[in-house]
Amino acid sequence: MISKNGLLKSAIALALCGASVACSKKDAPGPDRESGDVEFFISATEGDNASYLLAVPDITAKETLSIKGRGLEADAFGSWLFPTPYIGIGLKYQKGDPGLGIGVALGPNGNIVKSGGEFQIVSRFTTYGVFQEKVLSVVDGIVQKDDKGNIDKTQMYSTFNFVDPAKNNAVTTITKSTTNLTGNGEYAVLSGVVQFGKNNFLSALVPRRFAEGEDRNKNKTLVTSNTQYPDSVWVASFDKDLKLTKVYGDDRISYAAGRHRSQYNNAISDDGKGNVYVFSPSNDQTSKAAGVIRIKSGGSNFDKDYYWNLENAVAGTGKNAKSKFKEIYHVSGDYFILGYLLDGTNPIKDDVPNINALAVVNVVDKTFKWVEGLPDFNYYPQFGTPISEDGRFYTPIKEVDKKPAIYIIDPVNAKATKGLEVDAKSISGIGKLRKK
Amino acid sequence: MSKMKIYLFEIKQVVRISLLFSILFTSTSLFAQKTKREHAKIIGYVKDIDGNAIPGATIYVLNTAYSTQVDKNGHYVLVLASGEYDVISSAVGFIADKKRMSIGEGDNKHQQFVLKVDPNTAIEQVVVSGKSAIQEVRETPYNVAVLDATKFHNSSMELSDLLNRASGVKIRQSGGLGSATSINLNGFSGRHVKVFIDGVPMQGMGSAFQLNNIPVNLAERIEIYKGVVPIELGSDALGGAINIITNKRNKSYADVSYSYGSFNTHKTNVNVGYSAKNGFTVQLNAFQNYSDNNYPVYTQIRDFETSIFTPDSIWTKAFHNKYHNETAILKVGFVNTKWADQFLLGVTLGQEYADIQNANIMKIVYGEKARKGNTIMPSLTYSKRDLLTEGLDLILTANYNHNYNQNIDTASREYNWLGEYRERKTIGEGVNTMAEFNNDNATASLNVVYKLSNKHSFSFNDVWSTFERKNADKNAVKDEFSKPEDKASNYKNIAGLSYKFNYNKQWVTTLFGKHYKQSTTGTVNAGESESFPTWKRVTADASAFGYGIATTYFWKEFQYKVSYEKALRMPSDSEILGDAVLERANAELKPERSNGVNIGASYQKDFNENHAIYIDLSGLYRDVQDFIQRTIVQRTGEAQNVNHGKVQNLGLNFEGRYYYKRFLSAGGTLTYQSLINKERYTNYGDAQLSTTYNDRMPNQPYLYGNGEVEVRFQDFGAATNLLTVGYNMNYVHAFYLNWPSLGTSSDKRTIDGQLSHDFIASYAMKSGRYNVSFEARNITDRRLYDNFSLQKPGRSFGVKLRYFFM
Repeated sequence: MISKNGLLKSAIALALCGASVACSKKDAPGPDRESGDVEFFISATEGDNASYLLAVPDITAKETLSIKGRGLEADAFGSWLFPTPYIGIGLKYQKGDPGLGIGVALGPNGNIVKSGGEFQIVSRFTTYGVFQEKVLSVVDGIVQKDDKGNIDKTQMYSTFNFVDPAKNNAVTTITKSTTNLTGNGEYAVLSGVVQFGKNNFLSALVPRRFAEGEDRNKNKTLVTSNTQYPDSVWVASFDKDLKLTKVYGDDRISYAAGRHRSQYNNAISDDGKGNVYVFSPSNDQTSKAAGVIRIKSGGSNFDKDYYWNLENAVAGTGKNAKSKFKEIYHVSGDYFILGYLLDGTNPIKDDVPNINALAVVNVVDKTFKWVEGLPDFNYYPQFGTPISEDGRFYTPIKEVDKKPAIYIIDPVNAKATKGLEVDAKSISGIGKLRKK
Repeated sequence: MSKMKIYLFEIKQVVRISLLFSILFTSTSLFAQKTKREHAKIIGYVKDIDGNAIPGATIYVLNTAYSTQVDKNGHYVLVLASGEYDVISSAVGFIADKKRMSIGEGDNKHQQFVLKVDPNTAIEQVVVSGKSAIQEVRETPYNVAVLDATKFHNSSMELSDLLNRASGVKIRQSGGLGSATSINLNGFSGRHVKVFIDGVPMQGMGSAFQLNNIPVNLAERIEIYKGVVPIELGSDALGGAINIITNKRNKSYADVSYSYGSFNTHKTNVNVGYSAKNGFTVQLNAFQNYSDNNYPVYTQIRDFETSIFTPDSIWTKAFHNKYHNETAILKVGFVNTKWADQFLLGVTLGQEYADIQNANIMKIVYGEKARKGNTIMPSLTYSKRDLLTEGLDLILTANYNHNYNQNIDTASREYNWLGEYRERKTIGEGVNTMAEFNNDNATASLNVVYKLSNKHSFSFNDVWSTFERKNADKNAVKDEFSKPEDKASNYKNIAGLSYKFNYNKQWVTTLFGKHYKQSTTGTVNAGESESFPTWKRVTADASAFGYGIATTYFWKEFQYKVSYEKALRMPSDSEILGDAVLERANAELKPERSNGVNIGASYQKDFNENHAIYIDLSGLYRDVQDFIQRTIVQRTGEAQNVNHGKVQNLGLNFEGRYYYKRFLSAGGTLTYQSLINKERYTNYGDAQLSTTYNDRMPNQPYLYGNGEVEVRFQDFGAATNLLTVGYNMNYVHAFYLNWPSLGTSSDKRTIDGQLSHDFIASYAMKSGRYNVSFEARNITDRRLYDNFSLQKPGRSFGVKLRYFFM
């Protein structure tokens, strides 16, 4: 649909500018700029329908980035993943319709260019991550037909989509039963995709009961409900063919997923040294406290000698011990960042965001520090999807009355500094890209 | 025009109000100073060539507001001031007649009119004078465009196709016959534009009875009110209103047609009526549309193996795009009796089926998804002029309707745009659904007009409506946070009062006020958060006032109009209550508000007997505030409706027509509108300045028009036969899908400009009793898009056969 007639388009642009006061500002893109081999990627949105993709050399600069006349216009991709240092993959969820995705790369002149084919993907994903330089997204709650065309009542499935930038963003879709992975007959919703060694990835299993039921149309289907086993945790390891290679189980914490409404956010990560840390907020009806356990590098089970009660750690800071974390990220070494929802004094009316505060935890020496220098959690700032790069943590935050900005957190001192501001409604994704 | 533009720009709230008052005071003070008496009279009758009275015939004076109607014996009395006049008599189905008259003070002139039946489709000609009803509407102080539907009764158009030819109107359709259609009226669309049929709101009438499937033959004319809306159309329309006036024939008649066209399109319309001497009448209007809509499309195609789209678009053909509807309206009652001009009981029955070929973006294709629906609507109409006392007119309408709709997506296959498929084990191409929706609506309206004297008349209008929706999306993705029950109801009452003052026949002013009241009941989350909901049944009440003034002045061949309205749109139930899953409730939503000014001038002149022209130029200014917008919390997808957004709209509409005898007519419309975002802040309740402040609103056509030429060969082949050849051109300038100022201009997505040409030739035989027409649309086979990536049909041909008898 993009007009191929450049002349016509310039005429339109001219006509539009003639009528629009805003165009008179001198913020149109200049000639091609000098650009580095590695730059930060920013996806900024203004409204629900479009995003603008830009590259910036320095994300820490105390500057304001404008999207006026700048940036590659794209659909409002809500999730950005970086399966290789060269490629960003954007995924777009569409209610009721299949989702769409694109690939992007850093162009020669410091602009963002499309890379590989545009692709269609099963909409809705429970979780996603990077595995073997591919993006893997997982959809839960799939009901399949059996060979006779009836609903398969014995099991529920999950759909796995692999997006491979090495093959022009080709999508491989596999639907596979994730019933009874825990050995207790329940269905498992997968949460998190964390590369584990060269050939496997880990995912936390969120158990759900399922039974034949009726939808409101009185049609027979399978419906899920809360687990009967809320006091246990499972992490499964799969190979590239989705063969289950191992299930790690433990009873010290509840299932390992940050819970926000019907979403299950990733709560497991490795530390870059082969040790996998598994976090659990105190979800649902569990009797277990929020905590963290680990699988030591090469270990065949959870490390029986390692447990950290995070509720006690939070209580030690004077905050409500039952405050829930919903997101976890590895930054570097033994440092992880947890995204918490604390009780603020000025809640946004009728709307509670996912998280409003970050804490740095050192899982080895078990220190817990609230990050300083962030917008006041009492006013519920909105956090975007972060990245960890070179030992630092970068997260977009939209503070009330302010432009959204990137905050840079040094895990060692748990201090945040404000970097680049973006003159847009929100920052829907950040990343780092290297020229091919 | 430039003066007006500057004037419009500079106008401010205070100025507008003072203007309103100054007009008010001037008019009343003038009224107090002198009461000009109307001395002369013209007396006579209007009959057909057989000497029968023509009920409903009107007599009016060109370029003034003098007009009257005949009584049931065909007699009339027209009181007017002395002067030189063109006096015209016209009636539906007859050729209008014009007499030049010179009337002195105190004269009592006699003038008889004998009207001939119109040979072509039995309608009177625009050539001589313009039609009475159309003329009457045009002469109101409102900024209104009127389309004569009868001119198109030999065409196989739907109402939406006709509407697209009016100035200020752009119809945006997502595909072929029966596809989703939205009206853009001077930059407003969706909930801001209300559509009426004979003054009854069409909202909730069901998808089988909508603008995109109603044949043009149902209508006599369409009135398009741009902005300021008379109280007779009682609604909370912010951007204007469209009123479809259906054929009202008080005789026995039959209008039967069938058409066949490209893409296996069949359309049938049976419109028959019987009227007995005692006034008993039965009317049936039934229509059917069917199309495979299998037109060529140019799109990207997905590969099954890799799920990647082809980088470039290629030509293929729609393969799952069938549409059909069957609708019937039956009315039984009495017309022209002592106790009622019209007393009709009716029922509308309709059903509709549509294959769903693609998602809201063309490249996502479906092969089995579909929707269907049906509607049942009983209705009542009662109208009486001079009820109980002379000058008191009353119209009462009521209808109830039940709509059922279902979306079906249960296929275990995936398709590509070549029509190929692969078996899958999962259910649903998008999301497995058999969702059913039931809506119940009821509307009642009362309109009373009291004409105290020739100078003063009052009218009162009340529209009461209610609906209940039961969202029964059976397979919708639900979790424990979903509402336990999703049922909502809404009552709305809009009462209007207006006073019309005819200072003299040159100057007419209407002053009006509207009161809006509504009550919405539904289930909302009263708990602290989404995660820990506490469901509660709540009722939100709201009321508000709106008002306005409209005035018109006739001077020689010119008519000038100025109007102002403070209009409101009440929040809808779903805006207040949120939806079942992802939208939060907001019981404190305020109505959307708009201050609008219209200025217009028209010029109509007959140059000797051969040439006539009509030119209408109007400008509008709107300042809309407190837009109700859905805001989304990016990460969670939760949304809530808030009053956020300001838009300023400056529009110019032009319409021009030229007539040469009865042989040729040519005309066109051109619309330009500048919709500018005036919202300073990015988010509701947030002081971050918006980067798109003062930017043009995205995804809005802003420059468009159409042109048409019609040539008529009278007595072609035989006496009383008529050959009409018409050409129509449609133009829409390209516009951006997203904010114009954002992003690199070379990468921006546009909705390409449209330029399409249609031809129609129709041959009417035996004074329009038998008609054959041939149509060719989009003859240059352009790829046409009203919406991003959603392609409309290319070149198509059609033949229509029509029998008409009255």
